[in-house]
Amino acid sequence: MDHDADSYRRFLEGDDRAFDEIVESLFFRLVYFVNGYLHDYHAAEDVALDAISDLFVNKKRYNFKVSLKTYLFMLGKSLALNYLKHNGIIESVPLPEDASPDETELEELNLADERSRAINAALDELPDDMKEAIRLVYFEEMRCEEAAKVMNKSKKQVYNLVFRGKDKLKTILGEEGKEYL
Amino acid sequence: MKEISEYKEEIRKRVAIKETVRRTENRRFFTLAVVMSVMMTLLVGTVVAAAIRGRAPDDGKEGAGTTGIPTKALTRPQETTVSPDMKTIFIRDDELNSYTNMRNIVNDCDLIAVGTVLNVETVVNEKEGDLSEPGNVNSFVTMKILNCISGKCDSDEIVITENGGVLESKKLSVTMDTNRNAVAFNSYVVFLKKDGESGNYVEVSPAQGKTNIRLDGDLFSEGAWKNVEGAEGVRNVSDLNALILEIKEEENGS
Repeated sequence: MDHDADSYRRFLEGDDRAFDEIVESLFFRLVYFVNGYLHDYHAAEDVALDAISDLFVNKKRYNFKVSLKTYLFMLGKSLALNYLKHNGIIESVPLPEDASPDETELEELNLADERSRAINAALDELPDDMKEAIRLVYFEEMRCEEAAKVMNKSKKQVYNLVFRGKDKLKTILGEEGKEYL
Repeated sequence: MKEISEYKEEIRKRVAIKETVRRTENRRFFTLAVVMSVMMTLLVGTVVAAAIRGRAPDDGKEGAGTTGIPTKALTRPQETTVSPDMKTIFIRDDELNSYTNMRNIVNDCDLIAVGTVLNVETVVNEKEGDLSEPGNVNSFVTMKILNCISGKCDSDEIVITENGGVLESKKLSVTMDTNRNAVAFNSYVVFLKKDGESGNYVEVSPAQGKTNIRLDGDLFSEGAWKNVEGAEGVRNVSDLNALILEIKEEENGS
C-alpha cells in the first residue's frame, strides 16, 4: 500500500497533518534525487521545493495511478531538466572533488545503511542512465515499472540497465560487495 | 541543511504564492476569453450582416442563367440599407402616373437596360417642405449598364434621377412604397426617359421605373408591376427582350 498516496488523499480531504507526513517522507529523497541531475545542493533544494509545492497547488493533477513518490520524482526530474535548460547547462556538470557539508549531510540521511553507502560509492563509475536506474530501484525501492516512468524509458530498458549495472557493480565492489546486491 | 520544519514553512509560502498567481491568471484568462468571445460575436455579426446586405462574394459561377446576363455581373439583391433605427417616410403617389400596360411603358421609354448600381447620392430640395411630397428628396443613381435592351446606350455608365433616398444625417429613408430606392451593388432592369434639362435619365414612372433582378424570382412579380398587362408572362430578361421585340415589330407593322 502506498502510504504517501494515502496521506495525499487525506490532504485533499482537508487533513493538514497529511501535508507534514508527505513532506517528511519525500522531501529529502527528492532533493537527493534532483541533486543527481544538478550536482548543486542549493539548486536541487530549490527545485524540490518547487516540485513539492506544485503537488499541493495542482490538486487534480495526481491521479493515484502511480505511487506518489514516482509522480513526485517525475515532476522533480522535469523541473530539474528545465532548470538545466534555462541556465544553459547542456552537458552534465562534473561532481566537485569535495562534496559540500549540506550534500554530505543529505547523503548520510538518504544512505543510512552500509549497503547503500557502498553501492553509492561504486555508482560514480557507471554511465548516467545506469546510475539513475540503480538509484531508483535500490535506494528508492521503486519497481522497474515505476523507475521506467521516472526515467521515461520502457520497463524492459530499465530492467536491462539494472541487470547490467548490477554486473558492473559486482566487478567494482569485488567479493565483499556481492552480498550487497 | 535546514531543519525539516523550515522546509515545511518554505513549501507553505510557495503554495500560497502559487495559488495567488494561479487565481490571478485564471481571472486574466476569463477576462481574455470574454473579450475574445465578444470580438468574435461582433466579427461574425458583421460578416452575416454583410452577407445579408448582398456584399458577400458570389459563388464564382458564370453563365447566362435565367436573366440572360452573366450571373457574375449580378449581385444578390439587397432588401434595404436602412438601419433598424431609421425612420421611413413614404412619398405620396396618389397623383403620380402609373402604367397598366407593358406596351405603353415600352413605348414611352427612351432606354430600357439592365445595370448594376455603383453609387447613390441623395439630395434634399432647398425649399424642403413636406418630405413626402414627390421631388423634395431625390437621388442620383450611378449605374453601370450590363445589357442594353431597348434604346441607345451612349455610355456604359449613366446617371438616373429617382424620387426619394436615404438621409443618413436625419436617420430618414424617403421612398416610394411600390418602388423602393435603388441600393448600391444591386442589379435592376430600368425603364428610363431622358430628362431634357439635366441630361440625366429619369424613371418613366415613379412607381414602375425599375425592377430588382432577383436570381431566385420573377422580374415583375412584386410592387406596382403585379397588375401590369403583358408583364405577367415575363419571368426573366430573355422574356422581356422577346416581349419588347414583339411590341416594336407590331408598332412598325401598324
